[in-house]
Amino acid sequence: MFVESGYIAIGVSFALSIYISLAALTGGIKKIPELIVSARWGLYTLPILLFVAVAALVNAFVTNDFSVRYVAENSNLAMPQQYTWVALYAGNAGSLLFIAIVFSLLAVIGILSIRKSLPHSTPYALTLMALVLTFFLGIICFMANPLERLPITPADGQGINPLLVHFGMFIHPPVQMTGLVSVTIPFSIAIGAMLAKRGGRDEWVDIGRIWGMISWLILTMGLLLGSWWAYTILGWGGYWAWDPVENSALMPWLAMTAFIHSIMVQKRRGMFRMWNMVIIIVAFTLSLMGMFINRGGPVPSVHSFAQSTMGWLFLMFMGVALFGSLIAFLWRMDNLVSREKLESLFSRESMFLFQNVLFLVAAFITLWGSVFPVLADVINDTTVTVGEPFYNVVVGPVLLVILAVMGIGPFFPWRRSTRSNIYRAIRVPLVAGLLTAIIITAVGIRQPVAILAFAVCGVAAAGIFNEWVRGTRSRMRKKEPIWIAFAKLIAGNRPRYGGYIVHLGILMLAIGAIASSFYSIQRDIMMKPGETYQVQDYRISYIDSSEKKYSDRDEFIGEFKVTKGDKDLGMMYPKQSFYREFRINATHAAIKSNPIEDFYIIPSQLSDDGGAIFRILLNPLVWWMWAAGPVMAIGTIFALSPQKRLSTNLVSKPEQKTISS
Amino acid sequence: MLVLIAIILTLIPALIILYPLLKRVGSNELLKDESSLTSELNRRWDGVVAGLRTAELEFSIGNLSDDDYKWIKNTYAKETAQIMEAMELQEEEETELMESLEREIERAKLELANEKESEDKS
Repeated sequence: MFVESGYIAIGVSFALSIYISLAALTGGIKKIPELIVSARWGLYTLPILLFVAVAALVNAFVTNDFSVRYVAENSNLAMPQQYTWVALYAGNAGSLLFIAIVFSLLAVIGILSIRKSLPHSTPYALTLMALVLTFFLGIICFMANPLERLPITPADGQGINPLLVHFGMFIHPPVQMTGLVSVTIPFSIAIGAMLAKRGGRDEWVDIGRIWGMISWLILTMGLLLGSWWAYTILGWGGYWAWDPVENSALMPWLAMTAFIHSIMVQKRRGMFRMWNMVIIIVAFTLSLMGMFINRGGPVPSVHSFAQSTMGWLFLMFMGVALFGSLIAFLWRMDNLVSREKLESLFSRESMFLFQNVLFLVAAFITLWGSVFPVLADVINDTTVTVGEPFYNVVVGPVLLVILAVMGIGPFFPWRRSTRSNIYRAIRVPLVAGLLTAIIITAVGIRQPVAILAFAVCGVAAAGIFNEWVRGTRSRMRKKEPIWIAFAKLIAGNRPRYGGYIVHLGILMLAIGAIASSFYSIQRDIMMKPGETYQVQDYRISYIDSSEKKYSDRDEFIGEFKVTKGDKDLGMMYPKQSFYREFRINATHAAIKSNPIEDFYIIPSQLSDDGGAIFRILLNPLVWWMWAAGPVMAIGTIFALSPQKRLSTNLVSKPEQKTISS
Repeated sequence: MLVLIAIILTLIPALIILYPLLKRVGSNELLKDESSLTSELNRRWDGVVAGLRTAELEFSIGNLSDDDYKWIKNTYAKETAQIMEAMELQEEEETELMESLEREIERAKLELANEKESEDKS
């Protein structure tokens, strides 16, 4: 009964989403307010209907209803109930339902946030959101319904994918999927305003920026959590492999990072109106690209739903969305002429533009690297692999330049500046960068690229702290105590100082990535119980091993005692589990982590006498990468936090009587 | 039971989307225009004030020289003046419009009163 109710709810949702898109579009074009309200109210009911479907699926999992195909394929009697949440999106059909309900909620919040401030743009934004929902719900209805029944009910299910049985999986996939689909909200707001001929006066910019930042934050968290999951469970000791699905999450992130910066220029100066439209179209297309690659796209990946064949539908939808958006853009281009022009190359606006171009270059190189093997296969019938070395050589330098621009860009004032001014502003950070280079060379780092990268980080960090110090001092001239001065400084301009906090998070991330890329130490050693091994200052003693049989897996556990110098670091228990049903080995790394370095052990090949080949890694500064996540979240939330509207103590604004036009 | 659930799940959304059409809800939905000149001037005003404040901050922390600060402040001051002028002009236009509307209403009232008076006399 529950299952059938969910089935009906999905069908009604699909029909309703078609109605919403048609009613909103007609209401917008013909200016029929009742039709627009009807479409909007229809949208508000969608999450409730989809909640019925999700509740039906959860109930099927909890009651082990293996007559439902999705439940039989993604759970079994042995699965602990807390993994029901993971199983909900572990397969293709369930993840689509998850995306649909999350997106319907985001769409409701999105429409509520613009309906009063952008009444004429709202119907078009609503149409676009409803079209995206129609696409997802159509696929769920006709190709991948998670509530579909099996003709014969099996006694037990296949079980959940073992790689998903990890704490990170409770958060990473939902956050990542939410991040990708959330790009649709700023896209719909921007394109909706453009279609309503309301893009020419920057009406949508404030709310578009807020949604852009929310989407960016979710994408950032998804990427970081995914890297952390890969680091702790995939068992190769790294966190980023330039895998196509990883790239497909990175590309929209790069485009959204460009967007949230350039939108500031439109907000402040009425510039980059066309550019921002193009960037948000690119970001949306890349987010659909991510879902395409993730769902049976042509490139195999550890993250993708390999059995899915619906990738091509996503590709078609992506093509239609891109083509349609560009047609709309060309149609409304006259309405998007910038109010002002660049006044100087030495200005904040120019730096934003330069940084934007770099972000898009990085995104397109990544795209090229991801699709090139497919093109080579289709065109030349040759197998080509584009891996880490390509990205390190090509994308790495671009990212380094972006980091440098992040360091010095904020010293360029809006509108214009002079060279001597810029020099005066950046001399302290440059000296700090030079000192960083000297210090790290003195401590033994010799690779020129690593020295350069750390020096760039030094410039950026010094720049941020230097501005905080100077800003605080400036306020202290008004006789404010240091902490009050600092608090008032950052609270007085939240987007600026929130941005600096996010930049600090990016620096932490960069420092971890640079250090672990250049100075990771890896040893693959064969050890038997009773043996010891020395890596740098660490001494590891392989005490014993044990094997346990569970209903779904055989688990091998190594028991190690670890010391560093004279300091006892305690026991470590790396594990390897063989999941019989799936014929998959899943490793659980044992990690001792601190801000200086991670000591990391994973078992790889096992032998019958209790011996095994263990991979031991010393990964410097990786801890900072994971700590960067909360810092970036705090910075973004701070930048988004409401601030008193900038009325002025400089000039007074005339009182106005307004009438509706 | 399943039929009842199906009816409920279909009927409730149908009623929700039909209600605004039948009861004519939302007649003031499109009255406000985000693209009006007033909104545009308000946004530009905010932009100028934010620009002035940032310039002051940049100057106080040493990112701007005296000359650049003066130039930026003058540029913003000119923009401020233009926006204020546009706001005042618009205010005048709006006042004129409101006054002409009031005059029209008064005239209509007077005409009605006259018509009534002539009807009473006849």
